[in-house]
Amino acid sequence: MPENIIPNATQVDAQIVKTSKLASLYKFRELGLLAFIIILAIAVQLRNSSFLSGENINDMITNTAILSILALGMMIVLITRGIDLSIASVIALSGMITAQIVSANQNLNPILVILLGIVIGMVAGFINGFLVSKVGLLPIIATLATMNIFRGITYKISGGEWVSSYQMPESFVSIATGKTFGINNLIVIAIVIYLIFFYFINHTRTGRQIYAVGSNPESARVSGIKENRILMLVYTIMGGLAGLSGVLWVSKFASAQGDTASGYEMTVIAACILGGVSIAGGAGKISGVILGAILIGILNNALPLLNVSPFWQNAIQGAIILFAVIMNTLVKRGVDRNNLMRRKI
Amino acid sequence: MSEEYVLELKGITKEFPGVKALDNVHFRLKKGEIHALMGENGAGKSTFIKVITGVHPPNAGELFLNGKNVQFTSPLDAQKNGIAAIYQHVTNYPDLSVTENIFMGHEKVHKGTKRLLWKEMHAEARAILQDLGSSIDPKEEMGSLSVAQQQIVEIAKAISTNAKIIIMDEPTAALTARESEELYKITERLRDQGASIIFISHRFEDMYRLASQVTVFRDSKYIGTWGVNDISHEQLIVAMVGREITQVFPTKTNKKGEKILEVKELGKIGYYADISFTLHKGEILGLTGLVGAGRTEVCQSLFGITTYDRGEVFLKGKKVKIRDPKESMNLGIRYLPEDRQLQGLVLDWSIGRNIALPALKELSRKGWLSEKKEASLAKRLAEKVNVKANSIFDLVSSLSGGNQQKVSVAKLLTADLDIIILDEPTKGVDVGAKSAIYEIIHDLAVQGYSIIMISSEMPEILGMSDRIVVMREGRITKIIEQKDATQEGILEAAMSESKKVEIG
Repeated sequence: MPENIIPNATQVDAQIVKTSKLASLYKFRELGLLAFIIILAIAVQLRNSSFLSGENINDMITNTAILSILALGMMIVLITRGIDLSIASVIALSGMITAQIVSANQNLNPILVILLGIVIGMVAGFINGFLVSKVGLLPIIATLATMNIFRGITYKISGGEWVSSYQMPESFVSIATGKTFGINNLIVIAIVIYLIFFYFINHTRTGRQIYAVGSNPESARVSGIKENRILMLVYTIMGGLAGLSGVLWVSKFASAQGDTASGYEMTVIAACILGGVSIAGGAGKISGVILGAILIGILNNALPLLNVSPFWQNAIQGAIILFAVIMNTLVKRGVDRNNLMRRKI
Repeated sequence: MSEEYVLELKGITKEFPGVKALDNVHFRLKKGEIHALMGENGAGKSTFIKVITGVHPPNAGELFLNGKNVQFTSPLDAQKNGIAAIYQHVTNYPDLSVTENIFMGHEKVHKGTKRLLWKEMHAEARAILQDLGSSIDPKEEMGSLSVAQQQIVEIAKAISTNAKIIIMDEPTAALTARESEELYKITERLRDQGASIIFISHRFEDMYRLASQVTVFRDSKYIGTWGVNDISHEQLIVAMVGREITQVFPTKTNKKGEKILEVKELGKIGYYADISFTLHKGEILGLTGLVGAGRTEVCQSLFGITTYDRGEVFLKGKKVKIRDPKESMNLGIRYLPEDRQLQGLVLDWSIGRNIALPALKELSRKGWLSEKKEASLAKRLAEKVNVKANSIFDLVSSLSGGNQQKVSVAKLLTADLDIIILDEPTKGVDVGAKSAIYEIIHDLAVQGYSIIMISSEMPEILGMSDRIVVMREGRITKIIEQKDATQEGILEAAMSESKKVEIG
């Protein structure tokens, strides 16, 4: 009774239609995330009407700016199948050094301070890149080690002391609090970085090679892409952004401490994962990363507004990340299954 | 040097540590010709391509391109000289767009700003694809395309690099008949436009449909080149398998008993379909076919590593459903994987530990392991399969491949079992160890175990099996009794179009 054994064409087609519905979501991942953010915002607004006030929105975006800058760097690292755990330590290190320098030289130009922070971060990132590409360490191990080293150096040079707001000149604090064209500087900086990244990632050969290395390292080599150089580059960029964020962070909170931003790397990685960046490499979009960062920003802002106990806030964030990842996996599985279905035997 | 050939290889030898992958092989390709390259698994075809494309520089021999002696040091080098290869396992970027896959490595950029010219690339990609008769959207993500479509993109990539010599390594292996026909037409069009094509395939129908010349490799050696019309089907098969069998196999004394396992119309979407066969007590059933035939997948389903979607399995007349390895182990089935180092043995442990591992429960009381019992069991089994070592406390990693394989087999015997599935049991072991493994397999059969042996090695299949199941592209094409089996018959069944097999 062959009819029972061999699926006839209509049967197979029906199955394809059934699964491809889930799979087609794959293309609209960002839309789904956006919808989720909007629903969340409405829900919060219904509970607390001050949520969508102009002031609160401005606060929220300002607070998300640093996270979104870091998430961009983390995205390109993740795309190459890597990870950088050292960024929070780099933030602390760059923040501490620049804070100490401005407290000693009160008249230093803030632009110069920012550049200094970026350079410190790039050196740290370059070390990570060197360990990963030239020495060949696993990214998670290499950056775990440098995470502790950079943190240790920060404590060492701070001598256990804070650099507090009264030691910082007005020009330094205004990096984060001042405005350009009526918009908070942090937001302006984030927007400029996003524009540069958008061009770099989508319209330069090097930008696309980052994706190629992550998507299939084997064929990247065959296509003549210099994998090591790409890895050096992404870790150095990540470091540079972390260094910049260090300056912004210290300026924003008007205090540089040994434990600045401790544990923040996980928040950044979470933003990337929510934004659909694949830990397995090769995939990740700027639009997704923005939304991921915004979602975390909203959660951080809204949960206190809803009087959710701070003990629960982490758990809720974790649950949302888990939900997003499970959805992603289900959709991916649907896609794979569709591809298998096409293979008739 | 004759100018007539666009590509000529002379006396190419390529050695890897321990193996000669190519031994003094020759090849000549004329302009505008489709030249088939054929041979069994491991005949050296894939290595040969990698020599042409600069992935593996040869140890000896010369390569002439349009009559000029050249040496390629990298794949990019070969690409610049107009050689493109479409590999068996598609080597693309699944997360990137079709356009990017086509232009990766030779992107179009703005002369001044180095900005990528997406519009131009998309347009050219679309033009090339349309020229190939395909309506794939160049902005589509590569990973969402079917294998056939991905193959077309790979061809488009070859065209975009202006390749004059295109090598296709088993492009039809994963395609349906209709998709293959599509590919044939594209290939012919490329030929008519002046490209020269090396077409590697396991399928005779591919060769007859396309090629004008055929070159055969066997066991890393060059056997000959013929016009496709000048050589008969039978002669071609003899050229591919016509080796003398020198290996000595144990004289068969195992007795075929009652039916123990019956598999009915087993199927798994995307992997295999309509698999039916029986296995008797004390029988050695050979399961063969070319790479990608689905042999391992079927056996892994029988052992529960992956589940089957349809069909039935009867064990001793009783219907069973196998969902995971634990269940099949309880039913008395054991599977010895192909890559024993990865899946079968803990290399840093002693021989004894490894053998006793599956029996830990029986060897312990109230959670405490009796090391005495462990050692005595391990010793008994190690002697049974004749492991060559100083003691059972030697590390497995210190053993030769053949002895490691024996440890794997000993490990199986700790349990009460009926069926042993061996996946390529002699892969990577030397000739002496092979004989020892054959002895063990035969011994096991004599003792009444039923054995399914997956193997790609023709002599081994012929020498060991009582019956031979031949698979091709996920289906069984033939079940042959040992007395009727020949190398030629098996190869024919492994390479020709599937025929429906009557279930006995």
